[in-house]
Amino acid sequence: MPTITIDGRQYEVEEGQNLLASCLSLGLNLPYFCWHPAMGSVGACRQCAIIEYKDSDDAQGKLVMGCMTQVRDGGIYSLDAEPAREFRGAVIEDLMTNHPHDCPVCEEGGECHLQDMTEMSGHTYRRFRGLKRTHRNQYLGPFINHEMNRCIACYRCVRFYRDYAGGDDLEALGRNNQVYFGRQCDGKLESGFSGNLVEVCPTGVFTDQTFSRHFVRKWDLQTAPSVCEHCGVGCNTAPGARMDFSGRDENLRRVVNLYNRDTNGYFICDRGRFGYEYANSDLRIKNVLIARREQVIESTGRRNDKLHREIEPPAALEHLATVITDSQRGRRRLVGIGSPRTSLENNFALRQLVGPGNFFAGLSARDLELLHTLDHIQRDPRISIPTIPEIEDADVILVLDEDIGRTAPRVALALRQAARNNQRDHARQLEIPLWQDACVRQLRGENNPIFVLASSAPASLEDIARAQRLASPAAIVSFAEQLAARISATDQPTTTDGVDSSSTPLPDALEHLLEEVAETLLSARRPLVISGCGSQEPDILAAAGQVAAALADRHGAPCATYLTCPETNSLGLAQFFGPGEGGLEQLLEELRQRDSVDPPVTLLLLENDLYRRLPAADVESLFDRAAEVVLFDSLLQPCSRRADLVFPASATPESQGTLVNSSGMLQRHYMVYEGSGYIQESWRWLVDAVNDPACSDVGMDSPAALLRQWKHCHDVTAAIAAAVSCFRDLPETGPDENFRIEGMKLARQSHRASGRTANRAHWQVAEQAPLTDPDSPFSFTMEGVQYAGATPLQANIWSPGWNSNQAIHKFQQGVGGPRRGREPIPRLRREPTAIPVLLAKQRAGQKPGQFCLVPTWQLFGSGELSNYSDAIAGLADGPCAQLNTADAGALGLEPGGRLQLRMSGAEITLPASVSDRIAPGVIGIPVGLRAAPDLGAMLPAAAEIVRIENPEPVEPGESL
Amino acid sequence: MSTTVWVSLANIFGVLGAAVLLAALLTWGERRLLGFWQDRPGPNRVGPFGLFQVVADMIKLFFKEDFIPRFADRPVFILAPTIVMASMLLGFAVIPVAPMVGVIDLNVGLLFFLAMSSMAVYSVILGAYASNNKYALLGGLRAAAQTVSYEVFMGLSLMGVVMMAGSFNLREIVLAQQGGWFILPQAIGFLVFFIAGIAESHRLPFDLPEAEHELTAGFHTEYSSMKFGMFFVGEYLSVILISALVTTLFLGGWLGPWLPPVVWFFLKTGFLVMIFVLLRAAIPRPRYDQLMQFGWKIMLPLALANLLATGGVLLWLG
Amino acid sequence: MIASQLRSMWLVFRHLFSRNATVEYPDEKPYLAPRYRGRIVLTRDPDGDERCVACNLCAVACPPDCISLQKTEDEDGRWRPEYFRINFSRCIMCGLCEDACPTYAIQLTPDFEMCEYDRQNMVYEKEDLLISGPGKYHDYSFYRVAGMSISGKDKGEAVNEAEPVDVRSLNL
Repeated sequence: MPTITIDGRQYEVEEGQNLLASCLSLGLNLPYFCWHPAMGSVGACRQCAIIEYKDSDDAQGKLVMGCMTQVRDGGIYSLDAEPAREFRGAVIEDLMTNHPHDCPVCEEGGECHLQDMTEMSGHTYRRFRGLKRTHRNQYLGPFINHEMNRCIACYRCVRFYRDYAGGDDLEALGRNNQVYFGRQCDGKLESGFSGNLVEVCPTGVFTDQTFSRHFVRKWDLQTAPSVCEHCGVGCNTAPGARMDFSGRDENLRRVVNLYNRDTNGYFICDRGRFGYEYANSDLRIKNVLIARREQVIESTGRRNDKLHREIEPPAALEHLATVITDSQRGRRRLVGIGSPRTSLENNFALRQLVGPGNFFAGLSARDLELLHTLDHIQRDPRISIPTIPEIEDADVILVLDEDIGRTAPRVALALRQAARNNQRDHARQLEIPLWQDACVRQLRGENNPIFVLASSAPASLEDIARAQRLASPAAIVSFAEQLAARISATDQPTTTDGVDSSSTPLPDALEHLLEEVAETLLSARRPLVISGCGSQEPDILAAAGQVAAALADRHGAPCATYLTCPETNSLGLAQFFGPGEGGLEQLLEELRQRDSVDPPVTLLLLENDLYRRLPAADVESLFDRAAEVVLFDSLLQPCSRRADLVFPASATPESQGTLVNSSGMLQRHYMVYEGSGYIQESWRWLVDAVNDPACSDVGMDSPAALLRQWKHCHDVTAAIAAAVSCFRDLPETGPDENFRIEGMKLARQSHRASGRTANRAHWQVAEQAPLTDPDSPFSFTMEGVQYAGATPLQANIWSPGWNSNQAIHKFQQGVGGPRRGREPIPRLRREPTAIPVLLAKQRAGQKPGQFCLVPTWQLFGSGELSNYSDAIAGLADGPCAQLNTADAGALGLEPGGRLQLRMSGAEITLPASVSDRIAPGVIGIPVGLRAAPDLGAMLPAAAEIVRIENPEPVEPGESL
Repeated sequence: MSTTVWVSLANIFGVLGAAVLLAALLTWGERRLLGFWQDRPGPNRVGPFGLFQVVADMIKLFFKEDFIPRFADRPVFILAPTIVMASMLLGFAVIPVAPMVGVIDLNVGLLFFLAMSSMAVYSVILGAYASNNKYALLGGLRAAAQTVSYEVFMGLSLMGVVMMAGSFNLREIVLAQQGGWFILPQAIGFLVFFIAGIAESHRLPFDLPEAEHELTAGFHTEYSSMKFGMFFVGEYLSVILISALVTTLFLGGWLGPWLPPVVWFFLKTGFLVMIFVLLRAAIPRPRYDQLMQFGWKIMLPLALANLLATGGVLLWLG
Repeated sequence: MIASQLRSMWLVFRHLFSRNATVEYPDEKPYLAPRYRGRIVLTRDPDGDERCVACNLCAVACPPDCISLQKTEDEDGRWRPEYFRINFSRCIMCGLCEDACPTYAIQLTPDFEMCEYDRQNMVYEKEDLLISGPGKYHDYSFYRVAGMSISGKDKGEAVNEAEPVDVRSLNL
């Protein structure tokens, strides 16, 4: 390690790093704008100037840019030298000549990098007497506000948006002093990562529009580490909450990225950032609801819909307790339906209460099969599950029918970085440091090989993929199958003769690709296979597993394989069930075969919208067969219409729990704020019911009695670890509620939190005692450890002089390294098994003239919870049938036409949407939409087109 | 009944009544004086010059809730404040206010005073113990240590006077000063006794037993209403008692030209009371260890030296 | 040491003959300068609009944390407090909120005589605090110097601002 001298003190620094990054990792304060730890240096802002001395005799030194200068062993530098300070002061003074007098009305104020750097450089007074340059703003969609006057032209926004995230609709326009960062015309920023501009922009040009609607300053946000609940990647987030207008409840104000190198680094996607508003939705359940006796008349609701009224929790709990007691005496059967979008704790509590035999996953058999296939592949010792930095490091990537940019956007962003690895290798050969961003990007050489096979074109992979082929799922499976065979058999001459002739013959387009992919994969040092549940086709997963296994066998080392799960805790939920059990169809079958002498059934439905899991008719029939339905949920989702009793459950930021992401990582989210009304975690409702006097007959030997011992969330966590062996590392996800640092709790509020004696004062001038948190070592006040350097659990990233999120470098082990004090994330400890052989399931063969219906995904629209957020709900497309242009032509479908499709047992009519982004012979159906939640439950399927409804031709001259 | 009895009764009620009355008045007087010294008026709203503040305070004390904590040692808690009142009033009995004025003419008057002033410390210690409160207990401990330490040289400092007067009878001591007040030959004795007197009455700067900054109110933290009032009046009684005794022992008692003897006595005593108040206004409280060092390492040797010197001089003079 | 004690006693004693520094307040009102720091008011700009832009700086400067507000945005683009609440039963009248206020919205008045039998009445809302004039600063209007455009003041129309850049021009 080189030793350098800065202002007379000696430091050891990382070799090959630039001076700016070295200074920051040493904890020294050096201002900068254009440098970003994830994006490297371009030397645009001239703010990090320092003095470099030739040797110890050199008294003068020369001014160099810290971000553009590599550390030199024995180098002597000075940050404090007067010329360097003067230069930096002059630069910031220059930048500020055009900066508007906006800070009080700027959402960035208080966490503004420009404010921090101006303070740090000592500039206080504007001497420039000339006019300030102004710009007009653009409308950039429902997420981002644009205020271009504030721009200091550091180019970070376009460097992130275009270079890092691959967007092409934000650019630097104009020239010299008038340079403008925006789109060519008004319109929504198309990239799914536009929200990161808010964090990347060092000042307030791009600000969070949803946050602005209920804005508070950073110092007033109370926060705790959380995990994003909008997909299976498990990005770490820092939601911020504050007391609302009423002074009685708190609400969620925004979500920002929380740095965790292994899951999300510096960036999260827009669904995660802007999907939080479901927690403030008008549809939140805040009180216990009970069904009223009145029947709904047909004109106001559907048959069997129930009307509800609020009741006090003790009465509802007593009722639930009676039901539990009845079930213990055999007079009633309790059936629990779990959920992949809530914590292990909630699922386990329900499972413990009803018993494993009565616990169902709340997923269709197909969804469970997908998860079990995925689980089995991950268990294979030949498979390694990459972290985000490992994905970024891959050199050859194969994507098998997974729209990764929409089902696991953060992984797609990592893929985009991996695409540049060739360039990086080239740079290494030329001894160009990788942080020299502009230089590295100048290098010639094509992207890393990324091969994409999909039934519908994945988001934003086209420009980085070496080959992207659209094909039907069956063709992709057989391609993968043959690819695996080819990889295993490369000792033999690579001819197609060796391939199992039983598999489907490949289309020409794939046939040619096969060889190239096989060879490239074999030559790869760090190959990566990506697939997932997005295709809803277990064979795709199994085939991907086989390719990975074949590669691993050839390389003699595990092959990195990233398989996406659809929801935040899908993989965790699947661990409670063996293969083939726990599906909703099984439950429906059991209920259908029920005798009249059997006890009546009470369904306990946990945070799950069953209409997304099964065709609506099946769900109705499930509810019809239950004597009683008890729902625990945070939102009034469609199932609540059929519930007899509804308990308000907490949203993820309102609760503590553990989630298992697609990589099998166990991550805990902490309560950021207390939910309003009677909201509490579902497991607490169950525990309260078991502790109710009406439940006192439940014997101590009954499994349900275990619930009585649970006082804190950690008790449940420990119980899961004890009961299910793959969760045995669960207690390592975080400390229990007794954890203290030097006797202190951890503070959720910052030391500048304001308004304590006023925000409730209008209804109660006497201050109340702060809430206590029985589950975590966090306090709900500013009392406790506030410094993020003291513990990785502190989510308020702040350091003296560094009010913006840039302060994170103070808490990393080296720039871009893991958070200081952070243990590796514990993972599932699963028994190794071999990859399931290709199921070769005799699927309902596709007859000629039939189309293959496949699910397609939307970043905004397919997520269950984010659909309840206003900003995102407005972006979701309606249900449609996506069709290839050639097919549409052959069918004579005109723009604006509708298709009537018949599958086995169902018929649907959808407006057609024609594009080249879908494979021929395939019809894509967007799934997970709030307007048509159950479409996905029927896919994939073969279907025939029964009827084409073309729009009436419009008479010329007739106005629409 | 004979006239002597009536005279005695008049003396008893006159002197003791005046003592209590003056002590009550002093609560107002002290606050007024402190006010003037701090450039503010002090209590001046109730009655002429705020004189009825005393009455208002008394009414307040009488009507406040007389609270005895659950955890207190009830009989002792009630007994404690009465001891200080009683012992101080008894102390007044031996003070010769003027010829013919005074409750009793005791041969061992001085010793009686010392005994009574020692009794007063029981009040503090018992009150502190009975409160069953950590602050009170700390205050009580300090009071005990302070009283024990300062009583030693309090007695010793008086021996010079006794030697010169040749009597323990206070009246005779006053008469012995006709040739000159003992404050001149016994300047050191005067100083030592006066300082010890301040410490005995727990007045600033020696109010460590109650030290409101550290011990909230020390030994009387738990006291309220008239029980607190008794401690309160007891303290002022002891201020007057010490002043009266200094007057008697060092300032020639009632002796003085032109004015009636009683007036002289009151003038001298009043001046000393003012010094007490001035000390409170001007001198900060020492630390506890400083207090102890001051007592044992400076005051006690001084008192002994004074005793030795006085004895030597008296012997030399024959 | 003794000399210093005696000296301080003498110094204190001398104050017997100096004038009182205090006045007998309710009977005799002291003179309060017009800029005396009593309770706060919220002022309006010369056009009669609320000056407060809900920047939260007063709240964060407040030592007893007795100011609370919520930003909202008007249709004309102005930031404005949805509510602005101060709990005068906690206020220590330090005036830091006035110092922190970047728009001269918060100004202190010489009024400090707030007595209530019910503490709840010490909680003042924006409606109780707003006065109809500009207070001590007659001509200042924040939006005339800020870069944000609001209705009636387009980009480039604020003090010391150039015409908005036309990105499509040559920009030589």
